[in-house]
Amino acid sequence: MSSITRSPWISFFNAGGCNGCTLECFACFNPRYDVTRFGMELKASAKHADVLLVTGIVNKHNAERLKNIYEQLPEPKRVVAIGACGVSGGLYKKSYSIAGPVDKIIPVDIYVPGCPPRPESIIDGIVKCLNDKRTK
Amino acid sequence: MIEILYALLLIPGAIIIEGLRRKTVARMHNRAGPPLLQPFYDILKLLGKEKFIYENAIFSLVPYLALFCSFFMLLIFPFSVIGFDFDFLVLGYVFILQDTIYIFGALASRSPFGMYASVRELLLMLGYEITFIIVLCLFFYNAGVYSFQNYDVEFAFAKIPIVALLAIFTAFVILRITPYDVMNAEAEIGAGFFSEYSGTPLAILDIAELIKNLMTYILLGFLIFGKTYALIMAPIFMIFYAIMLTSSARYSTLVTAKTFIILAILAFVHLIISGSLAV
Repeated sequence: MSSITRSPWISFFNAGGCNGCTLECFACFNPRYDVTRFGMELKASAKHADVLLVTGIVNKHNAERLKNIYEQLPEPKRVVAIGACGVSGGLYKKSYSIAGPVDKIIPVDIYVPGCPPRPESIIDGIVKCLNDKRTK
Repeated sequence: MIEILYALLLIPGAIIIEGLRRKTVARMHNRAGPPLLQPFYDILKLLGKEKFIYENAIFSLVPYLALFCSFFMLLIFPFSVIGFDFDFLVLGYVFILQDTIYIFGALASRSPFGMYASVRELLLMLGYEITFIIVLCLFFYNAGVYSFQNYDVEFAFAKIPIVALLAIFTAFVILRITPYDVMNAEAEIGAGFFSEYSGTPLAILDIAELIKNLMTYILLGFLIFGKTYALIMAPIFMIFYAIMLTSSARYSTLVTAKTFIILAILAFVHLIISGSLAV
């Protein structure tokens, strides 16, 4: 169980939104922030990943896809909701086409607020969700 | 018996070489990079992940077949375990067989990403595998022998420079360096062959791939520099290909040519000093 703290592999899902948070997530992997020094790797397939980063409000179209992708992650797995939209609904809260924030669809371990959050806070969120009591 | 020990030591060697490779790539990007034992942590983690049960027999067998191919390479090259002394083409066949096995696994998974990767790999195989076998044949024609154990030519690149250059370029394809990594293009086709694998099968595929990479480095050192320098040259080839991976395609071609010319000059100097070349 504690082994995923050594090499957390990361997968993204943009569940609908302005793409700003996704760009900040990609910024974590550039030489300036370099999360590979913690053993993190960006994985294209959800089946390889340990941590799922969900950005944006979940619209009705993407709710099923998000559930599907969450089920593809093998245990042990963690979910981090990123950005004001993913945490609470943000700008789109009263929109007609949304299925709700991320935690209405799948269980979420850590919330990273901000519009968009800085790469430092995203890295902090991932490290916190790996170091919580259930992981040890 | 001592050969079995050496061959077993090559398995952790493959993992450490991969760690060094990631470190080299990170330094080329001006990053700190992952720890040296990161591939080891990755494999340990994957072995502890949730196990899925698949109904598709080919799909579940493919990782074990790939690992079998890698272990078979370890048995016949560079140390002859159990007195295995067949001709050099067997190693060429095993290299090709491993890629073919990946194609079977990806097609059996019925993932569209895996199918795209298979088609691309098949197209690429038409090109590089003929070159690979021709390169092997030419090196052994130069030596006048048929088995790895009797190959005792040193600094073959001084005598057959174009073949050595071809060998270096063929290894670009085997190692999936940038111009030839269309089957691993993450932005287009996800994780390629391995899209549907997770947990233990993925760890086994990783080990198979790492051993194959190490065997490629050792094979290049063996053919180009001779039996004595095969293991010493493996990390040097690893650093060379890591630098190639981080640079653009045209740049890598130019650097390959330059490196080759420098090596050829050094080899001639060595031959002249040692007196083997009558000037």
